[in-house]
Amino acid sequence: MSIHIIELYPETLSLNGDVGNRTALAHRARLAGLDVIESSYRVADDVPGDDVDIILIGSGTSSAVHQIAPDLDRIASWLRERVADGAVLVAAGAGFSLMTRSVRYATDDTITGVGVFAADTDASAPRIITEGFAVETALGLVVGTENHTTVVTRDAGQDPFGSVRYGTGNGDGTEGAVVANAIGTHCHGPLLPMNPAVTDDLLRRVAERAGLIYETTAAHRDLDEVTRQTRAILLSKSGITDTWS
Amino acid sequence: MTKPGAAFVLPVLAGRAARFATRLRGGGSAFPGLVAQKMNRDFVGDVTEKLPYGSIVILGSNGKSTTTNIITGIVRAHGLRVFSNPSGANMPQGIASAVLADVSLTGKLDADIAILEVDEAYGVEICRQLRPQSAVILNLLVDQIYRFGEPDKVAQMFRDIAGEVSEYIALNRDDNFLGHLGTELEAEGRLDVEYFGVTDEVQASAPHGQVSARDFSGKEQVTGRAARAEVVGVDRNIATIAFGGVEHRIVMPSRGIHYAVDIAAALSVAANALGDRFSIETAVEAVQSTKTVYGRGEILTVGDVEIEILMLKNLASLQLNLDYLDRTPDSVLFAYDESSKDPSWLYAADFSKIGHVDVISGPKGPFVALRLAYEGKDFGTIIPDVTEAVQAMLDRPRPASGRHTFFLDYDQMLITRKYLGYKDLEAGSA
Repeated sequence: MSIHIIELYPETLSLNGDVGNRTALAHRARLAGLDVIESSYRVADDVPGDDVDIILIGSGTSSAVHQIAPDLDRIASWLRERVADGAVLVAAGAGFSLMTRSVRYATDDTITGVGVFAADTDASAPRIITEGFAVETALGLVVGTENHTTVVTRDAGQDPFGSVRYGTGNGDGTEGAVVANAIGTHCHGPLLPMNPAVTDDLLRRVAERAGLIYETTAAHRDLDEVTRQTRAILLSKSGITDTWS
Repeated sequence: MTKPGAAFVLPVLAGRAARFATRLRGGGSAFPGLVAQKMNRDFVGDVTEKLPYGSIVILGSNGKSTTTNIITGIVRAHGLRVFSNPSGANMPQGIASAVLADVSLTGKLDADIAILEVDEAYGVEICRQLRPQSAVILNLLVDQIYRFGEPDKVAQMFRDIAGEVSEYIALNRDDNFLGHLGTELEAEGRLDVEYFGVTDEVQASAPHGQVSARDFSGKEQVTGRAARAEVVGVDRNIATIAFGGVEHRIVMPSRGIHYAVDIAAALSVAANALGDRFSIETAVEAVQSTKTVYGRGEILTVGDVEIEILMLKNLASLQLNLDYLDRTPDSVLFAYDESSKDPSWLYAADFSKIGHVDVISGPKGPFVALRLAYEGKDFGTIIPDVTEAVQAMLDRPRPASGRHTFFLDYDQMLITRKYLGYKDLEAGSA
């Protein structure tokens, strides 16, 4: 029994080292003794099968988003079904925008999103860059960097990923969105190497769903010691003390 | 102007006074230029327009300092006097300060040509003042995302800068964005557009190509364009470059496809600027006797060991320097600092050429450590202060190869060279 991770559009939506999310999940799962299969989905590939545990989509330029948008339409229902079925989805940056219902670049330029999250994205806002982006979430303090031009408007029933401690996030004091085992966020660093509490939580959900057990080891704790130092560097830019233990 | 020179005396004197004052304080190099420019806004352009061979600007995400240095070497070898900015002093006041240091009170530079590297974000402002005849654009890489947002923005900057150039531009044929810029400029017909490049075979043999940013505009890439200088082979630090159809074997100051492309660019733009005076033999000889720019593949000798300094300014510089390591380095230091606001790009780098790292340093060193740890590689020890880290490397037993390999971010490179006794520091981009 293996955990299957699929990364969508790895060459196109990869502006900010987004492959790091895959690296973190695969490495931590393997350290816990789990088998991992990694694959990629590119424009015009066959629609992937249903046996996917983790789906990743990353950040990119507006031109990259426009290029893949017609193809994303082909796999939109597959994506919605996987999320409804309990698969993990981590969507960062432009990937997050595309998982909302719509992404508006200009009055006459709106892209239809996948609609995993009940929210709409205005991608024509002035650029926001927060080096020490900090978000309070159900899994503790999430730390990274945000760099985007979006305002995300959630429906009343759509839960955010967390509330912003430092930075801008969605634009209303909240950050990102969550539904089932899907997370959408502006956070890179990337998100998962910088925030092992999130990574481990996702891997526990995946393992449970597959009838496996995910338990961290001393090797995980060695990684976390270094992670702590990277988080402290970014948080020092924002005058925040890390509460992750 | 009724009295030539009068427009210069006061700005030059004021700038010099500022220069003297900042030197006393040990301050930066940009302020004096600011003072001179405040007094005469056209100061730089008025000085450089008197140069018989005009001015050339060098642009691109990576390789500006190296290429500026090579072009300068080629042009000097042809007997011309060159005015250039110190490596890294590529913003408006830095350039004005460099002019100030060399100009006479009446606004004359003792030079035949100006060869200047220019920061892309300030390129339009600088070129409006400088009014250059020629430009060369080396590459458009994913660089400083926190500063520029997206590569497409940099493409627009290059387009705007090209609009301020009056005669000639040399472009990297194989760069995704620059190929399109060439198409646009050719259609416009105002500039003489020329290309340099590498053969498909050379491109394919590079583990990660030239790490150019991708252009998702959907525009067709033009293929089969002729290149005045074309890299037909790269083997470690030996490049074979076809110039005007004749192949030349060139021993480069450092290794890799990126150096070979910089040389091809330099040959193209120098040949254009020198016209009938240009000799490819003289140029090749000049390239081979050019030293590396500080910290770009530079080899320092300390006691009985060598230290090779490679840059890790962004994904492209790190990846290309990794790809062209001539062996798995046996003694490695990484020092990473604040020049990268967002270290996410480290995860896009392929570290397979590195077996292990001995010491990690710099204010953001732990990000490199975490990246290596997620690759399952031993990252050694973290010593935050780079001078202590460098000393720790030197205190270790001599590596079997006789060489330490240092991957250094820009500021860490400056501190390291100074610590090792190399005091001829560059001006910095401040």
